[in-house]
Amino acid sequence: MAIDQSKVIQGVHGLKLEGDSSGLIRRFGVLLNNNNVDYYNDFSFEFERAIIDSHGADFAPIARELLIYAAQDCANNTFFGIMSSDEYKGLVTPMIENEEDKVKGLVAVENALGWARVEFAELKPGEKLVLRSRGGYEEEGYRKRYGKSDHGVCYMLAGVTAGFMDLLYGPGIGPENLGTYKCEEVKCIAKGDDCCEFVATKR
Amino acid sequence: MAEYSPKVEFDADKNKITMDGEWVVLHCQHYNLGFVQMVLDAAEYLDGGKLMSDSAEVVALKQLENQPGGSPEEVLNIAAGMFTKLGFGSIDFSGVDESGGEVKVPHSHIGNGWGVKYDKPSKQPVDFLARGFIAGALAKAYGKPKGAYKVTQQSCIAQGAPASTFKVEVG
Repeated sequence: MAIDQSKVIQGVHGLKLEGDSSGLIRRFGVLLNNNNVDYYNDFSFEFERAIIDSHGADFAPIARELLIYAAQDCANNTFFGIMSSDEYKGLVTPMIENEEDKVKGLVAVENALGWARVEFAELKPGEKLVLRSRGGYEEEGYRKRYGKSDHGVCYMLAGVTAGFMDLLYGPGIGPENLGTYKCEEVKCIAKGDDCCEFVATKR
Repeated sequence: MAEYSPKVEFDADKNKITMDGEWVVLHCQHYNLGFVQMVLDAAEYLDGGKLMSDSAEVVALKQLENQPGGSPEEVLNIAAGMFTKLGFGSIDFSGVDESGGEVKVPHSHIGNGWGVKYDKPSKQPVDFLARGFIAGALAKAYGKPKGAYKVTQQSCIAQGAPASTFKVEVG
């Protein structure tokens, strides 16, 4: 049985991820929220620009690395919680037949979160993971605000891709592996490419 | 009184979730607090908290534009329902009116999330998301533009307070 993405998405959306009586969404050992993409895009890109304005263009890679790291931290914690959940073990784990399916299971959940259309491209277990996306909220948001970019802008998706490798192939358990892998966005629709492409390798 | 009851749709071709037509995404407190940490680390050089609360204010105003209008009380009731449903926490607007006052947040994604993520309480208030949301909700309720209300966080769950409180003043 291969990973049935639509079934996974249906399963995730069936969880009714909305605030309880205290307004908190407690799931998978973390607190979730539903927020507008404009909030994330406005803050991310304006923060990056403010760092460049205050420190110069040499600091742009540092600002981007911080934004990627925030997402990698998120992936290590949230997806570890998801992988450890009864829901994942009941729905996704039985579909996993090989190494690629381990990634495809995570990608299926990722696609349920509303971030982009993410597709699996290549895996060398422990060494390299390549994912591609289209319609990501970051590249769409960037183009809408600023037009064409000279660099990849999907920091969140890059961090999550590295986080998947941390979780699957890091030496420890779950979030202990944070930062074992890094990710480069080698293609980005915001740069004029036909898709966004993320390559995660060991740091 | 009208309640917040958004139309939630999922576009399976684009993997896009919308609430009343607005694109929303799910994220955890680790990601959101990662952003907060960036703001705190860069505080010497730039007011990242203002960037974050401004973003939240613009989004709150925009999302409330899609909701039924009515009296300020009705708009704030919708806003409180939105805050809760989106997973931001719970919010009490009863201490504020057009001229200002205090808003209480007994539960907060950011404040409670801090306690889950970090061992030590925060040294300063960190709920820039709620700060901006409050400013946007009040502007919409009283028919004023963005920036009409100055919101200052006075206590924060992340610091160990039982609830986060926000002082509201007219611009």
